[in-house]
Amino acid sequence: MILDFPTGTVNVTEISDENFDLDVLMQRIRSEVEKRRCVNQRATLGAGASDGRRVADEGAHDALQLDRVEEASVPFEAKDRYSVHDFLPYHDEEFLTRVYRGVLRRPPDGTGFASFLGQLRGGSLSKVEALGRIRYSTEGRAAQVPVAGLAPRFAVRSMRRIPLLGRIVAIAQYLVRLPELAGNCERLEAAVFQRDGALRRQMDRNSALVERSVNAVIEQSAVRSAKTRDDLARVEQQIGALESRARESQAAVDALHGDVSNKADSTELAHLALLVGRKAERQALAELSDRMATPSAGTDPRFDAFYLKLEDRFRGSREDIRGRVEIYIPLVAGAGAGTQRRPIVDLGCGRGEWIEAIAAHGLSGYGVDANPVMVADCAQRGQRAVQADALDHLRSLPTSSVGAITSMHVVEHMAFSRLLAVVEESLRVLNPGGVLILETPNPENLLVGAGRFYIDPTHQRPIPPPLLQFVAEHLGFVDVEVLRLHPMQQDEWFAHASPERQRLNDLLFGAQDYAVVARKPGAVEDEPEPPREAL
Amino acid sequence: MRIGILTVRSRAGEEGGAERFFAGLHRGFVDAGFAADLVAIPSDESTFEAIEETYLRCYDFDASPFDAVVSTKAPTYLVRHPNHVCYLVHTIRVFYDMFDSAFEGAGRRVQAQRRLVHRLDTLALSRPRTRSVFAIGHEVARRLDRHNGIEATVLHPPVGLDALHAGPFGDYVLLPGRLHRWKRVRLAIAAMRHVARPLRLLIAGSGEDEDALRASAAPDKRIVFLGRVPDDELVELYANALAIAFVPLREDYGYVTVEAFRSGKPVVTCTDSGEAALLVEHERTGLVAAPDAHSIASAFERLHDDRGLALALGAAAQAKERMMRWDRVVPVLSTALGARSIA
Repeated sequence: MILDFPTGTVNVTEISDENFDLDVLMQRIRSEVEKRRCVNQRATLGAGASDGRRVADEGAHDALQLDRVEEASVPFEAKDRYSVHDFLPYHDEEFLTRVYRGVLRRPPDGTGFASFLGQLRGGSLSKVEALGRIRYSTEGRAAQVPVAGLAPRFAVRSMRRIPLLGRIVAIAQYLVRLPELAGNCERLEAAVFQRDGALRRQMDRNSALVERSVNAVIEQSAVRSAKTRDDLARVEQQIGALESRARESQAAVDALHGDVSNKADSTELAHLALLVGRKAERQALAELSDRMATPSAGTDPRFDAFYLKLEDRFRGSREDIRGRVEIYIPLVAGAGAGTQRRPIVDLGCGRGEWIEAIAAHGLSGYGVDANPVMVADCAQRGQRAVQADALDHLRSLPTSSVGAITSMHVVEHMAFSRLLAVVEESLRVLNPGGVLILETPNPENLLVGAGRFYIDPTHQRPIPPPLLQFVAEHLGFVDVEVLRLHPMQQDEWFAHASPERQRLNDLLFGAQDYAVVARKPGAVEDEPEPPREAL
Repeated sequence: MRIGILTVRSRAGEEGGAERFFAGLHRGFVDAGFAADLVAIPSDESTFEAIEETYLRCYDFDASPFDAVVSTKAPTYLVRHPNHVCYLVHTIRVFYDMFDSAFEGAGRRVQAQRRLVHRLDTLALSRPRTRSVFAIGHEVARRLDRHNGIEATVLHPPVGLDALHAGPFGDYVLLPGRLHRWKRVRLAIAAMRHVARPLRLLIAGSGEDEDALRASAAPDKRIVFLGRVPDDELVELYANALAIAFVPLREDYGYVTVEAFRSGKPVVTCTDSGEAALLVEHERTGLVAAPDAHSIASAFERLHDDRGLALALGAAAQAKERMMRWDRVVPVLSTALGARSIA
């Protein structure tokens, strides 16, 4: 996909200066957006506004505009014939321009115009002579524009250039024209004074305008800088206040810190005493309930054999179980368990399906079971299992020495106080980040909770998922999750689940087992992996 | 405490995942007992000029009636308010992850545009203009860190369809979503050529690539195109599937994953599918395959052959989804705003 973002004539705000604040950047974008709107508006107003003047410029300041000195002269008028008096009242550039446009019928060109103007200003050429020379030039003769009164004046004027005679002619001419020249002089004087007055008034008006504008600007900037000073003072004040508050807070924190460290020692001692008391209490309870428990494993050989057969009949085939436990492999492996230093310990390993799965994935671990027949069964298959009571075995292990503790369909055999003790000991024995997995029948499935659970005479009481979850959380495990497992085969379900049927499906055919998966707080440390050996 | 939730609405007014997200976030705040308003600022990203104007609109938005503001999609976080957190859906993607594919061989002008957008986003999302930044997923957070150097907390939002529920495991894999190149539906169709099981692939959705996809799937009767499906039917399709396939390229969030989780189904996704590959844990809540037809096919076959695995993965997925609900998300946001509900 190629996107085309046409940008027209607009420049992207350049941000080479990394120090630009967001507000500055947004102001630039604002002015660009407004500029674009202006352009668009002009475009929609059509070609009528094409003289380049701004059509709309909201918010622009009033520009200062000064009057211009008016042209005093009468506009030039093109005629068929002229008299010398059409030209002579004008002076300098204006005189020459009018001569060109009148006599040659064209605007003045560069070089000729400049040369005539130079001679006029230097006094080496009179206006009559200039007019004559242009009229009687090749171009002038071709144009044939009549100028009444030019020929005699030009002739007389030109005669002055004849040596000796010219001077006499000139003196005679001045004598004859003396009254006329004096009149000219007076008129010129009057015109100069009048023009001078007009110019002075014009200048005064403009000066006043400029003064007013400049004063307004000065006043405004004075107001602004005063405001800026005020703002600055306020900001400084605020910073000062903040600094003193920060100092106060720091002092308060320091004081508290001292206080806390003084109290810490005594608090810690009190807490330890409490813990020790609770633990002793619990141990006594556990031992009491152990003695009261129903036929327990490892005491009666005939019961042990009966139980092995019972499991064969009702727990499901070896292959079934082997397939079901597979899902725990990623859980224990993910927690870094199953190495030499962090073995997996399976409490109540039974026929050893899970230890078999562990070994098949190249992980280290062993089973614990109180039933010697089960342990022998495992040994026959070459699996490592020890005969011991689960709680006794946990108590024999060092702190933080095990990667994962698993126990499938065991906790429902324990008195509740004993279950608490097992979970508590597991927390001690596990490495930081190690996992505890407890699988048990799920009484949320009514068929399980009301019936199937009781097939096993050594089962104590069904444990609802929230209870087991709470036990783990209460004793200090984190990330405690409940996995609901093994719903019944779909052919048993009510088809086309409506909400009601769905609910019934869940109650009757939903997960038959669940597992609580809990993690000991702390991160799994990396360990230098020793070459993995088979146990 | 009155909370303003700032969103954008494009001229076309399309309704997609983001719109459901906005509505859900709003309802989450209301359910938690806040007085919350949903504000939609008009947005246009068709040209760079239009983008500039949209930025300006958000910058100029008067948020003073609110005590706290939650911004969402770009560029609502330009808003100026002393108590503002951003729950980022995404920035303008053509200037970020889609830049190279959107502007092949971009010139100096477009490069300058990108620099400007990055700079504006970085400044707007920094303190004190924004108190905290949250992202809807790891992909979005990672991009923000890479391009803007801004750290965001990932807060997965839930999906909008309340009716999603678990059900029996049927004989089909469901592939929901828009039929667009980025969703890589073609890859799932190609995978079916290597699946030697009576397993169907149901494709729910429509889009610009539909005709081409139908043609490429035509010889295989197990592949069924359902077209656009109403929500209540979609819910049942989820509930009765064996698994859900979701194999897009670098998808930002992928509501499909969470919808599958909510329906208690495992998800088959690819290692390069972006957020989905991070949400789906291999062999825990689904299967993460390599982005090729063979790998996806063997994932399909594995689930077909081992229903127990499908069940266990689905169960774990459903447990995970329970952690992504509005009643978990809203308290995090309101705490960041120092807000207390009136209820």
